[in-house]
Amino acid sequence: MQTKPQSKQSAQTDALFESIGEGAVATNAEGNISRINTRALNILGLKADEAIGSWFPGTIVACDEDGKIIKPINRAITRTMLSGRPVSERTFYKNSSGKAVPVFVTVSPVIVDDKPVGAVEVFRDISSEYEIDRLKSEFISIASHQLRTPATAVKNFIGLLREGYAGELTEEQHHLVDQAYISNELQLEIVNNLLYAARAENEQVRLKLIQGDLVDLIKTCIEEQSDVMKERSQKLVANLPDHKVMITMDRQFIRMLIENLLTNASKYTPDGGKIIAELIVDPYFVTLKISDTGVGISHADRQKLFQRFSRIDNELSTVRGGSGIGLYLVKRIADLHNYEIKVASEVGKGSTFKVTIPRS
Amino acid sequence: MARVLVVEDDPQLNITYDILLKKEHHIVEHAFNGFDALEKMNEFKPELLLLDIRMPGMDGIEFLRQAQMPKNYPQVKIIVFSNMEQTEQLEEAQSLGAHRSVLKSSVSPSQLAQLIRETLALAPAGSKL
Repeated sequence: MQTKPQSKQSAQTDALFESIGEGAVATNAEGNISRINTRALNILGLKADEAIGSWFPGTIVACDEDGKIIKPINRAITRTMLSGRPVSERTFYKNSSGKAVPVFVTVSPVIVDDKPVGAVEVFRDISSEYEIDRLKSEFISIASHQLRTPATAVKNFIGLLREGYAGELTEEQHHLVDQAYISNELQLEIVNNLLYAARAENEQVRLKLIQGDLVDLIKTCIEEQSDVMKERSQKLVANLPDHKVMITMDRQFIRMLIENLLTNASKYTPDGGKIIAELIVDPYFVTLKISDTGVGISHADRQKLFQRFSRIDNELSTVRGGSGIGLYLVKRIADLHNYEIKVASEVGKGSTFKVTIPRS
Repeated sequence: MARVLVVEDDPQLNITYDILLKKEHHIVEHAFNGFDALEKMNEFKPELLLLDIRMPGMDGIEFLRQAQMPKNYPQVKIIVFSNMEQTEQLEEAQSLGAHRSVLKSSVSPSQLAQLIRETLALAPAGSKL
């Protein structure tokens, strides 16, 4: 029996398209919608006749968390059309009532005889994941804020004792108070890292980019660490330019990055060791190098160094403690800024962390 | 020696500032939020404020706005306590008359005492150097 092959094929494609569990949209080479399934229409609150034949970026409007519209040129669909490559991203789609729905989209080009003839986008409503993510970050943020105040009060009480406001301490008392000081500093460090990790982990994190002086920021961070390093009889050498080095950065995040590299170097360097902070300025790049004469990191351990909650076992990790968040946060901040981070290390000799920053 | 008003809601932190400031020979009064601080401005007549940003009721920023510090109290110096993530509030505090800011969880008592001395030595608002 001879049926119309074209319409049978078309009906099959429609059925196939309809049965995809996620929102699915197909376009022609001009970006006009040729097919859209019911799931997509439901997520967007659209009717099929409103969508079919219309220009994809005009009908399906993408925006950021606050509803600010994303230009068509920056959309996944446009990037796929221009590059001929699949693109995936998290974004928000405005539904018919104007609400921004968080979605995860994947767009693939449709290629026939080596020519792009359109694109297919599959998108998933990720409202529930998004909400869980938001609640998790909010929980960590509130918990950390609540922890920080009492930890700060402890810091002040210890400081009053250490700095002689309650009279001279015996050598033994001084030693005990110094140990309490180090524990408290670690506690504050973990709380701050948790707060920043909660912020940095949010996929939608927006950096507050400014032009800032990196030299000044490094000096501030060194100043803050100087007490703990003195306690460990560690020598800190700073090879910094005697002029400003302006870079584009989110100052708070870069401060956390430098602080964590310095605390990490100090933590994994035995008493009496040396830490070098160096800034090398090239025409196109600025390189921050933090080196230590510490315990070093084995090749195997280097693989998991930047993973969250990973702890490397060595003779100092049990004594000095840590949260397993510090270097994870460093990597995440570097990624957010498009900075490259590398580590070189030799067990028993020390480690060097190198952050390469493109100059603006 | 100066009259210092500490505006901070946490009771334990208040104890630490009270000890430090008295040891440094200042006269200390405490306010626990912005409303409280507004009342104590005229009553206690401070020369310096240690002002927290996050407080229940009226926060530090709203206090600065309502008190109109540079206009109404040109002689009073203000140090704002902040946390690292409060960049925006800090900028706002500065525009509302704060002289200095300090990271609450990273300053030691002697460093804070030093900052207070330096801030008290600043010229009053509107005066010519």
